Amino acid sequence: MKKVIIRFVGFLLCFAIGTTCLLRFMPDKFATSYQRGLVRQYDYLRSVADDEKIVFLGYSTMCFGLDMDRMEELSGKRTVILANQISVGYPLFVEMSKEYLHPGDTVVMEVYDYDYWDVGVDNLLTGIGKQIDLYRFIPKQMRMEVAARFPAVVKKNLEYILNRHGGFGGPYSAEGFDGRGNYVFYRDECVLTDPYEGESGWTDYTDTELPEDTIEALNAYATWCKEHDVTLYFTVPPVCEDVVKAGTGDEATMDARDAAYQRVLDAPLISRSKDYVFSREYMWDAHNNTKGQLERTERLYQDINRASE
Amino acid sequence: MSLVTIQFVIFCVAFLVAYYAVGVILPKWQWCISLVGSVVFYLFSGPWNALLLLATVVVTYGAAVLMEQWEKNSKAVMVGCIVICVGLLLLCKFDRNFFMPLGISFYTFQSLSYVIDCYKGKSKAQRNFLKYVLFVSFFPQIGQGPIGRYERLAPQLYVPHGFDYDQFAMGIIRMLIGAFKKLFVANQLALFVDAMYENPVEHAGVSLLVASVCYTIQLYADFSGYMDLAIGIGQACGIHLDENFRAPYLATSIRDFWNRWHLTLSTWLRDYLYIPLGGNRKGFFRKNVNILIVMLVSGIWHGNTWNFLIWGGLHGLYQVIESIGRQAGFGKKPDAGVRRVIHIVWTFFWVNLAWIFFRLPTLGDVVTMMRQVVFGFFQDGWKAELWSLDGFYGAFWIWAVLGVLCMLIMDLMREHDVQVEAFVYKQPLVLRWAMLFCLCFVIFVFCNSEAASSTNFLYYRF
Repeated sequence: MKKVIIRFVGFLLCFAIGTTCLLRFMPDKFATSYQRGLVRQYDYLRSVADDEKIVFLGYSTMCFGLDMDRMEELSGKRTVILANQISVGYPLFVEMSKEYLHPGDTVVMEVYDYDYWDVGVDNLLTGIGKQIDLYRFIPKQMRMEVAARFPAVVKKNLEYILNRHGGFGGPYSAEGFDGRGNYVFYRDECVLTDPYEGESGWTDYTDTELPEDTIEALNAYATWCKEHDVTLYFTVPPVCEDVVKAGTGDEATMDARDAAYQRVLDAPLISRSKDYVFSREYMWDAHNNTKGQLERTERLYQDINRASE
Repeated sequence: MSLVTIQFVIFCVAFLVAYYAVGVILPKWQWCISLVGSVVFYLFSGPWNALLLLATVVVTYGAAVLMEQWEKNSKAVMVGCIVICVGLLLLCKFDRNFFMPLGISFYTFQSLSYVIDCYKGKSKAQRNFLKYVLFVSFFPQIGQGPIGRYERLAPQLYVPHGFDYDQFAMGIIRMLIGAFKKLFVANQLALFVDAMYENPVEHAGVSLLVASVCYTIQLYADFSGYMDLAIGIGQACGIHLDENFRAPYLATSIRDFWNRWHLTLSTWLRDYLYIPLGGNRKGFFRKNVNILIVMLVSGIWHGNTWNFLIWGGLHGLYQVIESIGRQAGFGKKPDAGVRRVIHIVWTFFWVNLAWIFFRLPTLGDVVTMMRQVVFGFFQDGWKAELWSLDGFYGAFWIWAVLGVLCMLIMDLMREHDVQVEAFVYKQPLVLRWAMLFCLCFVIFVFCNSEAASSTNFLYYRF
């Protein structure tokens, strides 16, 4: 029996070391993917950790809809963006931010009627890639699923290698980010169909309920911020006016939705939905174009300024 | 609980530790650990499943004991028992309102073989009810077989087994080979097969033909993979379960195929149906009728649709034609060389054709597929279908070809009486660990497949 245990443990160790080496030296086919932008954002967050800063947490609407340089110019503070596609989710960014936020910092977080824990684990894992220290920010609620999906991501990477996948390019790739994780890919005119045919879904402002898990997670974060002297504000994502469902886009309905959100959230919702409905002139697809990115930044700054007075 | 899940790995480790610990402390009661493990394993499939299993166990246990005590009416008891058990099996298979308990086809046949052997005097009735429960429910084999025979299996189950490192290690290696077959070969091929067969009319005939070959290999990899897992666990416990495959796709005739495929079912049908019907002792015509009956029963055993009946009927017809051919002096068994390869390919073709009925859910789907093969062989988009599955282009076929090559090598080894696990085990330590590393790495990478049947084995549904 001793022989079994020694050989079993020995083999396990060899397997672990061998697999780690293989994975370490395996070409990373997701290095140019859109979700890899989160590593640049993480690196930048670490580099400005000791500065007084505003951290913007969100999905791709925040990523495409905020210009770091313009915000820094307006606010006079360091700006950090922690935002990527919706399937990368919030949990990693939220846990990551906690390590580098200090008293006096500000967090502005987009509120989405999306399940907080509905994370596309594959995209998250391919986003993290070989930045191993990012794994410590994965919340314990997700660790089993992450462990379960890890082999599938390795397999996908292997297949990309075998298929001689040329990497990712264009707006939905790492090419869109600068070294600080600021989204800089130039977007010109709106590419949505005109008239819009609902290809990316519709925004319905009569839907006033947030998922229970989202409320719980956002309020837990609000509590953490309060305990650590960090100011937390909630904001809303930008929306193209063409995408608003007919009959739901009047001011009263939007205000009612904002009020409903504010009732359940433990931090101020500083933005009004009606201020973030943009014409096609400022939109590219479901996100802002470059002109809209600047405009949204200005509006968001106004909201932050007003809230902090 | 599927045999390729992390839950099963944990269960297996706990079971083996308890099994050998009790084997040291209280060897006489080691069989109780097997019993407890088997009951726990089966309860994972649901309490109603366990109740039906208990019903079969009680009926067959009672029948064997009653036959010994009531010798005058033993035949009636045996017949009554068969009627009840087969009735229950048919009810589960044919009544859509009834559920299909895990392994019912397998444990029913296993129990019936025990009762019939007791009737014939080949075995004595097991008086210990719990020991009998263990025989029927032994967890490595209850899901998909192999269908055990009482005289071979029971003595092994009830005696204590000391720890034998060599057998244990080879058992583990065999399990790894089984997991490899299931996760790397079967699950990968399933991606293509499922995509093509979901709606045959949308796909080119060439793609459907390729899918049929992929399914033929998928089914073998899936089923034999389970067998390797089951036999491997048994071996790790010191229990030798019957082999169920002997390189079936290297068969040189359909008769040869059935001496290589699902051996425990085909020998069961031979011993308990074909021979009692008269076998080949009642003339040439009757022999072929018996073959047809046996194959039709085999079809029904698998499922309650026309497709399964046709599948069984086809194999019956194949064997009848071969029998007539042999009678007429044709079909001498080829020894080696090109003739042998031709016979293998020829047999593979007909087996592959029959598997189409096995896989597609309805006759209509089979007809659609055949129509596509004849009239839409190179339908528009066939290159994209074959080459850009799911956007993965060549990678899928690299896995598929590698997988098939591995299966072929293993089968060729077995054909030459070389046990793959023994071969691996006998290598020098460094080479052995390198081979095991490759095996484990592949299992690790492919353990979370997108294939719909990813953890469930295909034969679980029988």
